[in-house]
Amino acid sequence: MDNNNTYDWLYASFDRELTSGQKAELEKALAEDPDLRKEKQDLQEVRSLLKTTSFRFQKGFAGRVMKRIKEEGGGVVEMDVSSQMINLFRKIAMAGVAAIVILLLSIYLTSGTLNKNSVLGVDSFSDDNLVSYLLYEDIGE
Amino acid sequence: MIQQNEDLKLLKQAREGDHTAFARIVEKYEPVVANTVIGMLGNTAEADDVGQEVFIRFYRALNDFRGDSGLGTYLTRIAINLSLNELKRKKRAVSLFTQGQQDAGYDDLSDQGREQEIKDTNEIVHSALNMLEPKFRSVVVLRLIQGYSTKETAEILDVPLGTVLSRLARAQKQLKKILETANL
Repeated sequence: MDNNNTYDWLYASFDRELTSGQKAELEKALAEDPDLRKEKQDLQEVRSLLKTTSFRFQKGFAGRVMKRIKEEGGGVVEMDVSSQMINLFRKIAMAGVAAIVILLLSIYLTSGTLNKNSVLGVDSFSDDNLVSYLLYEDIGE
Repeated sequence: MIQQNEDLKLLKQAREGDHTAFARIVEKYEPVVANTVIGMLGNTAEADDVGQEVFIRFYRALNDFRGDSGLGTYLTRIAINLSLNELKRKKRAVSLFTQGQQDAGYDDLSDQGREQEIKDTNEIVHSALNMLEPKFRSVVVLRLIQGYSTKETAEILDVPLGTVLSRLARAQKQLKKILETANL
């Protein structure tokens, strides 16, 4: 049995599953080798020391963070450009749809119908006089 | 699940401009960020600044957080990256003034004055961690202090799982030697 391997497996055994063969060899080595047992014990102590370690910032940390946020004009939450564009277009689209709905509703309420003439606001529209409308000429005179 | 729901509620309020909700997030995740930043940088003024910067960056980009990972993991990722940047910055600054000098190895632990600084567990751990290279320190902080799984540690550090496992093994061997020298 390679001595280096058993030490490597010992270290690895804390962080990953060993193969059944590795596990068996490690257990055998642990039973026979007092140095390896000592290494395991030391390792467990190191890990347990680290596990119980807990660091904290000086008192008032949250206050210091919030103060800096306010000092830096923290009212504004930055967004990435794509999110900003998506939000902007969504608002524009919703405003457009709302305007169209209101317009159609008001036409319907005043004219009682939503046909082409009432939507365009003329009494009798035909494609022939479209150019005249576009040129602001009087129709029917 | 309850914690995640509470986080989502606080995030929604913070996005709407509620500073009290954001302050609550800071209070709640301060220990997570402190363990990472102080573990990496020691209990220094820079660590406090970096810790603040973690939350300020998060605040500025509140809308970028999609909730794919937990809030703690997300903040830890920011904290570890800012800490590693700070270590690089410090290393550059030190190398400008101490050209030719070698970094103190862990063998220096028994040097005069050093042992006296070690008064309690946290200080011992600080001293020991400070003697590890940042790449080893980061896996120790995430895996052994923060308690992330090896897979999560690999994801946070953006390195392969095998790298995390080998760094962990080497870091533990070094830590064991350091702590033995400190007569623990």
